[in-house]
Amino acid sequence: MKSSSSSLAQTLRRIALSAWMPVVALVIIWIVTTQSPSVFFPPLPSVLESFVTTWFGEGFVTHVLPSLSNLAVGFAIALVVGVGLGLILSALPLAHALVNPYAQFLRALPGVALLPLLIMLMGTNNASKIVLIAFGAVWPILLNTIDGIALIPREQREAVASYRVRPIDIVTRLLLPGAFPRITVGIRLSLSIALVLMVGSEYYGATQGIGFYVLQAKQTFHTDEMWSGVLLLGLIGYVLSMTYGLLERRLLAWKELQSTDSK
Amino acid sequence: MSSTSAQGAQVPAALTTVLEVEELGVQFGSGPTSMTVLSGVSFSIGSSEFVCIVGPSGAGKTTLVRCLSGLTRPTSGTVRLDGEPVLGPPERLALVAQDYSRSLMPWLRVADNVRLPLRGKGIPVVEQRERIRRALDEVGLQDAAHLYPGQLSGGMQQRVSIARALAYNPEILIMDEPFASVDALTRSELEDLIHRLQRQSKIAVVLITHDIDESVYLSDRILVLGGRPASIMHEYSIDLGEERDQLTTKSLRTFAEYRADVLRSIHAAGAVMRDESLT
Amino acid sequence: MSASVTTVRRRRGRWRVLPMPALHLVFFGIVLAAYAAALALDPGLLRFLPTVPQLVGAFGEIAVDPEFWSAVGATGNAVALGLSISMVAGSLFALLLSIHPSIYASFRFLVDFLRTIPPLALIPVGLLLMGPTLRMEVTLIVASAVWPVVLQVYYGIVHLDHRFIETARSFRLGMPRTVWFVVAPGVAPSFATALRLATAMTLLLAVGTELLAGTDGLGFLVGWYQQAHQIPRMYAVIIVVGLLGVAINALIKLGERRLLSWIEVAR
Repeated sequence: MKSSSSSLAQTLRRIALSAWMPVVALVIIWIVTTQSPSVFFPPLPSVLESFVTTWFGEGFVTHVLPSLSNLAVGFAIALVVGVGLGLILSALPLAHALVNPYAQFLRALPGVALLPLLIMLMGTNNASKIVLIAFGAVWPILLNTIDGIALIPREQREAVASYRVRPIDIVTRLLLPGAFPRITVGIRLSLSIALVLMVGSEYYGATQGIGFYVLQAKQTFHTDEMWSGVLLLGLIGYVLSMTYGLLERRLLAWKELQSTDSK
Repeated sequence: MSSTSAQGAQVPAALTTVLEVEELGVQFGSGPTSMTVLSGVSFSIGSSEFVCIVGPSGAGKTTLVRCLSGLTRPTSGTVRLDGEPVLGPPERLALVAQDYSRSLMPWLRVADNVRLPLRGKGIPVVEQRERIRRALDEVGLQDAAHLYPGQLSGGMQQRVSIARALAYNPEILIMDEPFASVDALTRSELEDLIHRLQRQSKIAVVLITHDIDESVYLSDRILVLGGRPASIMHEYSIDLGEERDQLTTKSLRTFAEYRADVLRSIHAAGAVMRDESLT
Repeated sequence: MSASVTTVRRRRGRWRVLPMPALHLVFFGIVLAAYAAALALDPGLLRFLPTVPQLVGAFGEIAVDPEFWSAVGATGNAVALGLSISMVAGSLFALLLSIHPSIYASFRFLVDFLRTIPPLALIPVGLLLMGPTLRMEVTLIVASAVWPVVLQVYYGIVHLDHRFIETARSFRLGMPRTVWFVVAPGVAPSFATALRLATAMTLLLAVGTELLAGTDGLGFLVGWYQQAHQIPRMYAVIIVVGLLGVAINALIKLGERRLLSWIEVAR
């Protein structure tokens, strides 16, 4: 019978283990940058101050909202197109085989290379950024959807066929959940690609956005503002990743319930 | 204990024919590398019969099952359900496969798994729920409705598979070595379960098995599949009474005699296949 | 409905009538024809899109242009350096993390945080600290590509089935043999995945940095040609970048098949 104090001690120990290194790192950075400040590494307190005043102020509306909305829309498009096209190509093996070489080529192409092209075609507005994000993020989702569907056990497909389950149910209750463990790998990758392209698209011919802000701060040598922008981007990436991790665990709850001996 | 060399193994006169197989043949590939697995398979199944199909391994039992359930089209001959040719999975037929773990959807709860075949078929939701409840009751899983298959043992998962087939209200149930992957004790429990369910619901059951004891224990008729290419080589009528019991039935002398006959047939079938494959 | 369940009958790599490569050729021809037709129907597009002859001509031009080849070298250089450093450093760090769970727990937050910083975000920082140099480019590449390596290799080491190691120990194989025959092959698939992910990141960062920070390389050329309005050349270089990615992926897959052929890849 575990006493409550020992499990409390265990929890505290666990928190301490995870937290000591970040805390120490923070302290070291604090000390180093305040004791010997340089233009490149301004004192941590001033970075934090800049962080609060900018991002909790007007910077939120001017930069954060446009950036995040581009990200959201671009990623949503990538998700819908990736899964939808994945379903279609899985059902049409000939189409899949024909289109595959082009898909492999486009997926190997780093999305950034298309930035000048898109700016030229669509101008420097949000549309070109969204297209860039969607284009870069669609490939991991598309390819993992196709792979995931192919990995669904034959027996499950046959069970569903033998009971004459209607197509909509086949998609929503067999293909998508069955392929999801694989699709989610693609989604994670797509999220990070989308984030990268969101920032990248704001470095080239942009007038707003977090990336633009960071670049501008650097060019005007307001390094504390620059770092606060980088910090914000890191936080956004972290929160996105953690949030999706929680969502993923929810959706894959059934997998964790599987005991190892009953297959 | 009648045995007939069975071209056209026939349904006992009192029953209506549900499934009719006529000169079924399956050939894979073409030309010199082709392989004829089944040829000239003919038999019929009556409306509340329990028929077991046995045979040496590699005889083509699974191929036959796939043709009966409409998952594969035979290269020659016909399969008819209620007089209608089977061109794809037919409506009044349910299939229980061997590997239950891979035919249930692990991301759906037990009740949802049982419900899946009932969706979109015009069955009112209230009746769907009733069928699910009754089916799970029949197999003894009434308390497991909200669990995921991954949380159940092998035997319980196979029972879910059976419940799913039952809720579907089929006319005929095809089972492909359904108890092969469970331990012996669970196996006998499941055998009794399916026997009771069949007698109660009066649906026709075709059960493929390599376990001779099981086939004699459960069936009204046994068809022996063998030869290369395979066809029905023997047919046995089993008369052990309506009630079957693991202890008493299996100790009957007639049980042992049936068993010996079937075993002998399977050996003979196996020998034919070995000879054929050597030529 | 049975067609969706039974596999479509393919006769020896042929589809219905023609062999696969012929079908690909035909499809490619159709794509080209559709493209040419679109351009013919809407000449306004000619401002942004090259005609097929223009594109082919551009390939010819860059093929003899020393500027192009030096850019290829620069990008290749950066990729090779960045990738190798990432793989080595990442694997070593993963090894460190796998020694004891408390080590992993200590580093966990930092790793999780640093790996989600969008790599291109560091371009201004890199420019500030090091200017548009190769060193900056490689630093950024490593800063982004190392994380997938760390995670994948760590996962591979930690998920090594301990029964293999126990078997090795019960046969008293000794450390070097255990590592060579048990640990390395067990980690190899994760290492291969790490390589693939790191490569994608490396290429993205290399081209991105070249385009956005102005370091030498193919990315720089893309931006340069766009601004100088040499559109067909721009497209040609973009296609080259894509082909570079395809080539690297193909090399990796080839290496995988040769060295890891004993694994039944569930693809």
